This record gives sequence, structure tokens and C-alpha cells, in this order.
Amino acid sequence: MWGVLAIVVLIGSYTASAVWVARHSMQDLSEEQSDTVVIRLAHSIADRRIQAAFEQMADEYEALHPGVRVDIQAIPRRAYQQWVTTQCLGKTVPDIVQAESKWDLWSSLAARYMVPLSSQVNQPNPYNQGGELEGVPWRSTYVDGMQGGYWPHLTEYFSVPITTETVRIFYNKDLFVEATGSDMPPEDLAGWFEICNHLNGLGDVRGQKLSPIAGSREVMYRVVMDRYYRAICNGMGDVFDACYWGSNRPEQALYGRYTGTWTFDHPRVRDAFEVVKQIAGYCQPGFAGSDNSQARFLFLQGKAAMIMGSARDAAIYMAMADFEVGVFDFPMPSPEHPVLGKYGARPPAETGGNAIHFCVSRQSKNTEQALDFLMFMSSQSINERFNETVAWYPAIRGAESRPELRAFKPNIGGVSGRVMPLTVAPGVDLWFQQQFPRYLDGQMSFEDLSSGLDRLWLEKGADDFVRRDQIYAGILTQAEYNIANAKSKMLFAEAGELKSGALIGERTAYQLAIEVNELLRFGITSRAYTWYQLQKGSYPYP
Amino acid sequence: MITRGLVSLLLAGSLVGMPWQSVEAEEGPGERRVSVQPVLGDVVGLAALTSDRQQADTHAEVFRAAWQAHRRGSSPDAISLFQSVLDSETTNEAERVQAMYGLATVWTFGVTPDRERAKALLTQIVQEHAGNPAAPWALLELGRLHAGATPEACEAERGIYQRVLDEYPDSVAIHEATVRLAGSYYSELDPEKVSRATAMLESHLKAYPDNPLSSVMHFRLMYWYQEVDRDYERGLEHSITLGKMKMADPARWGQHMWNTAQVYLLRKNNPTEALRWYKRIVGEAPNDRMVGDARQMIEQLEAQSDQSTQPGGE
Repeated sequence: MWGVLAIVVLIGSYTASAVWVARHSMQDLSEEQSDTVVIRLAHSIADRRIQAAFEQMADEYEALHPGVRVDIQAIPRRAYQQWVTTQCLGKTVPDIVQAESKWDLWSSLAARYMVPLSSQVNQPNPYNQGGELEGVPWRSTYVDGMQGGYWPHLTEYFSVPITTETVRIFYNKDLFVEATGSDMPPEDLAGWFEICNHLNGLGDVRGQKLSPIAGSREVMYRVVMDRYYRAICNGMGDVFDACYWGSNRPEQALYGRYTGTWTFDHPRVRDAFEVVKQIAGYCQPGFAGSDNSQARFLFLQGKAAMIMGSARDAAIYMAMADFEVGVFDFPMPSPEHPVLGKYGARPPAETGGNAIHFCVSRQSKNTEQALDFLMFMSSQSINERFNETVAWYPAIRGAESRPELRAFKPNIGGVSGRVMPLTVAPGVDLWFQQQFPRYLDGQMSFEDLSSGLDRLWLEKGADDFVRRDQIYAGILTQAEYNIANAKSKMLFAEAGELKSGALIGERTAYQLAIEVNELLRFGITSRAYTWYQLQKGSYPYP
Repeated sequence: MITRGLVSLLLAGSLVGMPWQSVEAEEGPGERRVSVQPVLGDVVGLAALTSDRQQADTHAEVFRAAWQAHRRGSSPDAISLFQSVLDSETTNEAERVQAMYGLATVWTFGVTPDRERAKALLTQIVQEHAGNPAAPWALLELGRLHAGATPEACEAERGIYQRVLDEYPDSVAIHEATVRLAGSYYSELDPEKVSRATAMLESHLKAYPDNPLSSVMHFRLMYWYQEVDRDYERGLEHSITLGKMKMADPARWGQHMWNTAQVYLLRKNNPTEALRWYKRIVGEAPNDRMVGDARQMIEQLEAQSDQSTQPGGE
């Protein structure tokens, strides 16, 4: 199956590349002969409605800039990442590309092929002139301070988000009324489970299978588990966080396992897992083998009353459902909950999360124009109009969302999730992804799952931990480049201006780059030293 | 049958050896740009950092083009331009140094890196232009290029950083030299060398408390004392100082203030001071991911404080 998929992806990617190169080779020739500045933007969103909305934005921009043409192209999602990679290698990459992630291969692509935007983000967006955001630094115009465009491991802004992506729960209001007499969403976790029980009862009355939730493996693992684990177990990591850095660092779990001072077989962890298991119990049978599209089908058919999704799914449901659709946030246990109330669970913070975001290619012959178009897309009025059209949640402060999407407003002030990390890629993570569905459907007990995690952290955790620092060491080259770049300006007037506050904060790019470099180096060194001392038995933990 | 592994290999192999580059969007969109009030920023730090700055004489335009070519990733163009300055008969001493330094930079970070060429150029700067303000910085780069995993490489690297400290005590390069020298000692996982690194940073901060890299030094010490030595008392001193000068990246402020608050609360049993630092997160880093946690802690501590001040309370 994987081989067939690989062939499909490869063929799709090369076909798209060949069409792209052929088409644009001919266009390049004619453009060289004209004065038209052409900006090409590629994205992976297959929806024609979205493509039309992008083209509408392009038309508006072209009207403001005679002599500029913006060409929007959708590339099949399955082939998109390979396609972008191929274009970068072949030096035919569009001026603007959507980045599907800030991690993994995308991180390498950004570092090597995309323009760092940090020097721009403190400038005002000129397309906000005349409005309430006039003169406001570009990054401060964002709901989350443009954290979605900041790539922390590269210490640069590399992308421009145009939407805010959060996950919520869509629900079939008609089924809710039929089952409970009300179309109001639940106020807390217990209320949610009560509604689910009513929905199960409704299915029995109807004599047909009705699942309270249309679930999928990916959503259960990446969204539900992450959310409730962080909410319920927030703060558990504090005692193991030797430097009180407030983040769930993988080494904490490794050190804890190594010293025997931490086990995943902990009542609070168990309680978090039990919540997720209970949610899974309300999903359709065999959900662990379902992908998102299958879950979506169930929901639209009215065979499941709820489904998790982002604002990008809202337009689909609202257009295609023949029932009224509502949205609510993941309910938290109330303080009065007999088991979970004592944990004071709060929703996790949603800052800098996944969003549709775009990078400017270094190979672009029209870097300034490309950047200008991104500023246009992220201006308040345009961003509001675009997101209103496509029914997504805007990224810019003051840009109004559709009323039905207000539930997607990010929880900026949620909890960070100071938890003991469950996995670290890929050794432990791979095992957990395989076993977690078995736990959810009752094939594996929590004791077996937690003891498996305990064991895997010792067997594979150290390797994962070392591998992760090898990746960080690879990022050091970019950090050293940034230092060298800043130093050249310190030493030679012709190399450019070194300014205070030109990037982030009020220091110079040199000081920022040294800080980043030291953060990376120091983390690698201190982890190596601590691990070494732990193994010698000379490091007290926690 | 094409396997996932082959696809991955194709993709991974295609990315190996690609140059590390950066391109600056030099000025941004032209006529639509709104004028911005200048950010005052760290004016003192900037003045110190640019105290070694030099300006070209007759080859200014060539240099500008060369640096821009380098940042665009056009290494052959950059090399050609820098080399043209070296080959010119009208090049003065400062321009010669800039050309060599620029070439060394391109050979280090350009499309086809050549560390030996870079080292040779930097060595030439140090040997033939020892009095030029860029010489200590060339020495710093040389040290960095000598870094390696073996003890011999570490010693070579450190020896060069030490030369910066010994031969150029008045250059602002001594601060980075100290940071890198300490870093080299820390990296060897040897308690004796670690102590030397810590002592070095402490004494440098005593001698130069307001140096442009002092926040980095305080951060290093804070982190090491707390994370590795578990000496929270010593770490707290640096954490408090860092709280006044702040880290360079505002995205780190919340994390650092959280650290200080937690140390006060969990190690010093001082909820009053802890509360102050939690409140700083909310006030000074409102978008930080630690804001929600800080608010939660403020609520808890204020509730505890209310209970303890109520008549009959504990």
C-alpha cells in the first residue's frame, strides 16, 4: 500500500512539476518581453471556492498595481510538499509558496530557500493606512502577535499567516434537539458526556446506528489527547522542570524514567487518558481506521452528531449539511466534577498554531512585490473580507469573523501545558501511535499502555533525545550565519546598517543572533552534561 | 517498486550540501511604505557594537554590491567582486581588510564553502593587519572555524579566543570571545572546565556589567546554576538581573519571568516575590504562552493571601 501511495505521490508531483515548468517557461519568455511583473503563488488547498477567493484578492491587488499580475495556482495536496521541494531544487519555485508546516522538511526548505521576514515584521503594514491599525507594527496587527509566522527553531519569521486555525467541535443542532430537547452546546465535560449518552439513546430509539461523534485516528491523537492531557495534567511537569522553564521538555521524562522518579502510571495521567477513552467511546465503531474525510461523510449524512474540525471545515459543513450546524469549544471539567474537578483543568493556550501561511522564495525575481502582496493579504480589511468569503477565522486584530465562527477565536490566555511529555520523535512516538488506538478501543489497558511508555522511554528515549540534539546542532549553522551577517554590518558600512530594534525587541540583530545561538548551544551542552552526570549518579533528580 | 525509502532518499539527498544563505528584503515595498518613528532601542549597545566600524574609500559601491550578492546567495558574484577590490591598485588598507573579510565570509557560508580558504584569509588579516579594528573579529571567526569535536580542536579554538582577550583587550570583540570561550569549556563535559567557564563569565560580568552581551552571559549562568548545578540561589541573582535588562527576544520574556517566579515560589518559599513576577508576565508579555499559567498562579496566590489575612484565617 505504501509503495503504491509513493508511486502516486511521485507521479502526481512530477506531473504537476512538468505542467508548471512547461506553462511557466512559456510565460517567462513572454514576460521577459513585457514590463508586467508577475507574482506566482502556489497553495495546496483543493477547494475551488478558496481558489476563487485567492483570485479575487489577486484581482483587487492588480487593480491597485497596474503592471503587476498575480497568478494563483493550486497544487494537489498529496503531492504538494514534494512539488515544492522539486521546484526549489530546480529553481522554478513560485514567488510565494504556502508552507504546510513549520517543522520537519518545511523547516529545511524555509532555512534554505525562503526569505527571512524578521526585518520586515516591525514595520507597519502600509495597507492598514487609514484604519485603526495604521502605523502599528505588522506583527502587532495579528491576533497572536504573528507567532504563527515565527519559526522558533530558526529564530526568524519566515511566513505570513492569513488565517487563524483552531480546532473546535461542530454539532448537528437538529440531532441535539431531538436527543436532549435543546440545541445549546454543553457547558462542561460532564454535560458533554450527558449529551452523548442522550444521542446514543436516540440511536436506540430510532433503531439505527447514530454515533455521538465522528472521530478519526489523527484527530483523536493529535487534537483530543493533546488537549485534555495538557489541560488535566498541567503543572505536573513543574517538579521535574529543573530550570523552571515552563515547557514540557522531553529530557524531563527521560531523566524521570532513568532515575525512577517518574512513571506514566500516575493517577492524574490515568484520569486524562480515561477522559480521552470516554470520548473515543462515543465515536463510531472502527474510528481508529478512519481518516478525516470518512468522518466528515458520517457527520454530513447525519449518522454522527458531532465532528471536530477547524474553521476551514465550517464552510463545507454549513454549505453541504441539510441540518443546522453549531460550534463549541472542547468542554473542560468543572471544578465540581467528582474526579477531575480537583485538577483545575483549563483550556490549553492556542498561540502560533497551525494556520494557512505563506513564504517568499529567495529565488523570486520580485521579492519586494511578493512581500507587498503578502502585506496586502494580511491587511485588516482584506483579511477580514477574504476570511469572511471562505468562512475561515481571520488572523488580524479587529477583522471580524462570521458570527457562526466566533467559537474559533483562539484561547490566547490558555494554559501552556507544563506536563511530562508523552513521546519524543520518532522511537517512542511511533510505538505510542500504534498502541494508543488499541487502548482507546479497550484492547489494551492503561496499565499496559503506561508501562509500555515507561519502558520505551528507557529503551528508545535516549536515542531520540540524542537525535533531537543532532537536529538542533544542524540548525546552528543558520544561527552562525545570522551572527556573521550582523557582524559584517557592525564592521563595514557597506555591508548595511545595524539597527537597534530592527528585528524583534530593542536590541540589534547581532545581540539577538548571539542569544539564539547560545540558547541552542547551551541547551545541547547542558543536556549532554546532565545526562552524563545522571548516568554517573551525580545529578540529583528531580 | 518504488519504496517510501527511495522517495525519502531522493528528497533527503537532494537537500544535502545546500548552502546556508539568507536574503534580506533590503528596504521593503517602496512608495506605499508609511514613515515610522525610529525605535530608540538599545542605543548604548549599538554605539559600542559599531565602534569598530570602517568605511570604504574608492570601492564603496563594489563592496555594497558584493555584500548584497552574498546575501542573495550569489556566491560567485560576491567572490568576484571582493576579489576585484583585492586586485585593484587603488585599494587602501581598510578596503583590503574588508575584501579579505568578505571573501572569508563567503567561503564560510557561501554556495560552495571552503573553510581552509576562509581560514587562510582570516589568518592573513590577523598577521598582516593586526592593527585594523576588524582584526580581533577575524580572530574570532578563525577560532570558530577551528572548533571541532576532538580535545585538540577544542584547545585550538580556545587558544584563538584567548588571543582576542589578550591581544585586543579594548575591542568590543572581547565579549563574544568570552561567550565562545566559556561555551567551549562547557561543551567538554568536564567539571573542572565547567567551573572555569562559570568563573570566566562571572568575572567578565563583574568587569563589564553593561557589555552588549551581558544578558546572554546572565542567561547562561542562570541556566547552568539552576538546571545543572541545582544552585538556585546563585541562579536567582542572575535571573533577577536578567529581569531588569531582559532577554533580546521578547518571545522569551514570559519564560524567563516564569522561571524567576517559580524559583521564588518553589525554592525560596516567597509567594510575595513570586506573585510580582507572575504579574510581570501578564503586564509585559501579554501574548506569551505563559500568560494563562501566570494568571492561574496569580489567582491561587491571591486567594491564599486573602485567606491568610482574613480574621480567623491561617
